Parts: sequence; C-alpha cells; structure tokens
Amino acid sequence: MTQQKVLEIKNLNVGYETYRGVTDVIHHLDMEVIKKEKIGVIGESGCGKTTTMKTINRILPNNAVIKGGQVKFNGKNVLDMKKKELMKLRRKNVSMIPQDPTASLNPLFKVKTQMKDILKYSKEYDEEIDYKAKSIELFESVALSDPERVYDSYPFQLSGGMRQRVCIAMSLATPKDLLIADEPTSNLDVTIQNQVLNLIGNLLEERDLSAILVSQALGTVKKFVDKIYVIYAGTVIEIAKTDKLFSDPIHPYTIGLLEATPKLTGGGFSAGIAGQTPDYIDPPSGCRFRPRCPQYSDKCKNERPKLIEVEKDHYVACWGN
Amino acid sequence: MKKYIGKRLFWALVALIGLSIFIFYFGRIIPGDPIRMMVSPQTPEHVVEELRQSLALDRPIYTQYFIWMRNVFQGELGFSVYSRRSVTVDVQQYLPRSLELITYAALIQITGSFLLGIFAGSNIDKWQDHLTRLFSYIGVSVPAFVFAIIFLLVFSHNLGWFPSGGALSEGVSEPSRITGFIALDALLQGQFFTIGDFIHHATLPAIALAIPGMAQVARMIRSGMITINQKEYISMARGYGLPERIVRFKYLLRPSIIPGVTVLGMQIAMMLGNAFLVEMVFGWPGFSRFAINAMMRSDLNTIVATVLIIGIMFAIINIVVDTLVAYIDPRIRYSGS
Repeated sequence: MTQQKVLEIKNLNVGYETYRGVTDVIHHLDMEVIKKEKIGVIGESGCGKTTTMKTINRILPNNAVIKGGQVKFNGKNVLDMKKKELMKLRRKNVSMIPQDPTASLNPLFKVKTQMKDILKYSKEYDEEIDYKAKSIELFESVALSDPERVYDSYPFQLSGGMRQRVCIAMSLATPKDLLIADEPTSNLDVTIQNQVLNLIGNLLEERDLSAILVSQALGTVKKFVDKIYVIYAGTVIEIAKTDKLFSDPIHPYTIGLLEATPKLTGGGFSAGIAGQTPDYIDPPSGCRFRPRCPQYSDKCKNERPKLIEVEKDHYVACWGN
Repeated sequence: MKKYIGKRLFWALVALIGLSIFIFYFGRIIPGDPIRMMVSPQTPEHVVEELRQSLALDRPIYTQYFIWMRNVFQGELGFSVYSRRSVTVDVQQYLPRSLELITYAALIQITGSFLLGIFAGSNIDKWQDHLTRLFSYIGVSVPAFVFAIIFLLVFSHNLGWFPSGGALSEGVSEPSRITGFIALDALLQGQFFTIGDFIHHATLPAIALAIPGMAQVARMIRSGMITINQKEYISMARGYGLPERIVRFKYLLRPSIIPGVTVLGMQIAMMLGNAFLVEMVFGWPGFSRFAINAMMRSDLNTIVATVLIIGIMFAIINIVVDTLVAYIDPRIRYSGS
C-alpha cells in the first residue's frame, strides 16, 4: 500500500538578503508528511524551523530568497503555484498556528472583524452564514471561556492564552489537510502552555489531521507526534519514530539535545551543547554541526553528510556512522 | 472617547492661555514705542500721552493683559496702530482668505500624500518607488516659495493657464459678505462663475503650499507600509488566504498611516503662519502676510492677535488629529481616558 504524501519537501534551499550578503539558512532540507501523520520538528532557535514552515504556504518575508528545491503539497509544487492556486492552498489546505499570538493578531481590528474576513474569504461558506454564530462555535471548540466577549474585543483586551486560542480558532476556520503549529506555546505563560498544548493535541486527535508540531524542546512534542525530525542549521540531521529517537538517538546533536533536557529525577544542570548555531553568511563546509561536534573527522569538513537509513524508519546524516 | 476629547480640550485651553500671556508680555517688552510709531515726530507730547492713556499703554502689563483678555472675550482684539481700526475687522478680512487657501492646500496635501505613499509603498524598490522618492527629496528640500515662483513662471507667465495673482480676476466682484469665505459666500448666492474664478486663482498657491508636507508625509506612509508589512500579523493574514487587496488596504494600510496622520495635522496647522512667502509671490491677500507685516510695524495688538489665532489653529488641528488617531488605533482610545 502506498501511502499518500500530503507534504513532500525535497532539497529545499532558502536564504535571506541581508546587508552582508545572502544568507544560506535552509540547506538541502528534505521532509515529508504522510496523510494523518503527525510529525514533530525539533531544533534550536534560529535553525530555520519557522522559515521552513513559512515556505510551505509561502508567507516568507520579502527579503527571503528561495534558492531551489521543491515543496510539493498533494503532489503540486507550491513554489511554482500561481496566485490563484496559492490562495486555494492557504484557504483550504494548510493552516498555521503562530508562534507569537500577540504579534499575529492585528492590534487595530476587533477579533470579530478579523474572524469574519477569514471566514468570508475562505470561500468555504455561503455568503449568508451567520459569521458570529460560526465564530462562537469555533471559539467554543477551542475552549475559550466567554466567547461572546472575545468576539467583540480587540486583541489587546485579551490575555496571552486567550489570544492563542483565538489564533487556533482562526486556523481551524475551514477544514484543512495540514495543520502547522509553529512553537505554539513558546510565548505563553508556563501555566497556560500545557493547556494550549493539550488543546492542540486533542484537536489533532479529534479531527485526525496531518500535522507538523514545531518546538525547541523535545519533551513538548513527545506526547503528540509519531515521528520526529531533528533540524540543525537548516538541515535535517536525524529522523526517527518518537520512541526510537528517545531510546536510541544516533546523531551527536540529538544526543546532546536529549542530555540537555532537565530530568525530573534531578541530577543538577545538564551540560548542554557548547557553541552556537553558525553564521549563515558563511556556514561551515561539509557537516554544519562540525564545529560543535565532539567527534569529527576530515570527511566531515569536506563533504555534506546525507540522510542514510540506518534501520527501518530511522535516518541519520552523520559521517560518524 | 468623550472623556478623551474633553481632556484634550481642557489642555488646549491651558496651552492657549499660556501662549496669550507669553506673547502679550513679549509684545510689550520688545523695544520700540508703538505710540511713537503711530504718530508723526511733530506731535506734541501731551497728545502722545493722551493717546497712551486712551489705549491703556501706561498701565502695568498685567492690568493691560486683563483689560485685553476681557475685550477678547467680547470679540474685540484691540486697536491696530497701523490700520487704525479694530484688529478684529482686519482679522475678519484676512483670515478667511488664508483659511480658504489652506483648506484647498490641505485637500491636495492629504490626497497627494496618501496616493503617493501607497503608490510607493505597494511597489517597493520598483520605478514607482524611485520616482516618488525623487519627488519627495525635491519636495522636502526645496522651500514652498521656490515652487511658487517656478509655477508662476511656467504655468502663469509662459503657458498662461493660470492667473498670476490675487484671489479673483479684475471685474469679478467679491460676493456680498455672509461668512467672509469667498467660495462659500458665492456658493450660497449661486454665483458659480465666481467660485470657478476663485479656484482658478487659488490652485497654484495651494499646490505650492501643499508640496513640502505632501513630500514628507508620502515618505512616512511609504516607510509605515514597509515596516508594517514585516509584521507577523500581515504574514498571518496572507496565510489565512485573505485576498491581497484586503490585506493591503485594510490590515496593512490602517496601522501604516498613523505617524503620517499626525505629521499631516502639523503641516496643515503650520501653513497659516508659514504661507507668507507663497502669499507674497501670488499677491494673495492672506493672513500670513498680514501677520508678518504687523511684526515689522510693531503693531502690538495685531501681533498678539495673529499669534493667538495661529495658536488656536494649532490647538484645533491637534485635537482633530488626536481624535482621528484614537479612532484609528483603539489602543490609544482605550488607554487614553
């Protein structure tokens, strides 16, 4: 049985124009999501997670440069899409829960205005539908208390958690094929983080959506995803089933990440991984993790490691194996 | 919102009272005796003193101020030693002429700066943007009166499209006075030819007056659009599949214009005092010329009255702008009260 691929990213390269030159952020990145599959994408801040996600529905900032590769959605390359197809993709196929709900809601318009436009231009509903009733129904599905008040409020009159729930409701305004949650809790209070995460988890289960859950921390996504992609400096360095990744990490970076996670059992502060993400104007040759890697050879310097299937469904890009 | 406006009205009043004290005081301490400037050198001393007493200029400054203030509230701005009639009458003659010109210039300025700003902001780094940038640099760096002279030479003298000066052609008489505004009075009396003639005369000076502010605000709207376009909520709006025109003209434009609106208000308010050279070039019988002449003639009551009127104009426009900005940005509306 061939599984239907909802999303297939192949050899994607994306950079940004800066005053110092064009950066080279996303570097030969591959990723795929099979129908109804939920994947986790893990990596440090600045590793290109958000850039990759924004490439999927083409909402990158103006100075972004897509240098090459393919982003196929249901078999069609998003990067070649004309305006009309792109609109359809955004309205019907992909939706995104943003990283920072405060920055993602227009401060000058009431929630109802923004909600109404999203519903109206989704072309999913009749012109005559009751936008208020539909919005309130959506708000209830994301467990927003007092939906009537929220509907009639400006974003700055809501709390962070409420704003994120509004964003989630907006992303669910029409049934979608793929839901991208880009670090949906990183800007929320710790007490709210779990609530929102569980809400997203429940929605994924209820609606049986394909999803990409992006996070900096392995622990956050563990519960919700089937498979995890570990990204370092714009390249995928390890892919594995969730359990496998935790029990059997191979790439030195993944191992470092797992060790950096504080454990309930205590044992003091973890060592972390020395160094920082590379400068994207002039990234290291060969393996990008090399400068921070505890064990590298000359080969790592000269050649880019490709993803190799070391066992079933477990891929690693490292010359050390 | 009412509270917000009320608060602004109160502070505007405080500012105006402060301004009146300030300008009244400085008007009185500048060198030069207004009475001596009024009379001829041969006037006998006792006549001078009588005149001084009759105008209350021999009293202490604060007494003079209170006398003046009481009169102002009765609509009497004092006696002009130059025109030898009430300043109120002079103001009634010159102020409407300038307000008409400024209204016209403001309309051009607002429309022009929005159109150019959006035009450039929607086409960043394309020819539309570069062209607008060129216009803006010229508009900001060249003073308005230079435009006035160029316009006069090209469009009036060489091409003959526009009259060279004044507010109405010879042979066209002013409509009988109802409000003092030519265009309005003519409209009320159905004299449409007079309106046309007036607009024809006002066009060149209005454009010359409008250009510097227009150039500046167009630039501000452009940069506003660039900055806001990088905001996450604009990417998200696109990501939800909203059409580009809705994203651009609704969600992007509204936050982009806020700084521009504030500066537009300032620019319009400043025209009343700054139009002097443009009014000179076009022989426009306006308020700015009247005010500057009063200063050159040490015409005290007129100086105080004109400065105060310019202050009132600033206060009114500021309140309008503050209200407008509060209307555009709910965060100000809700925190400002």
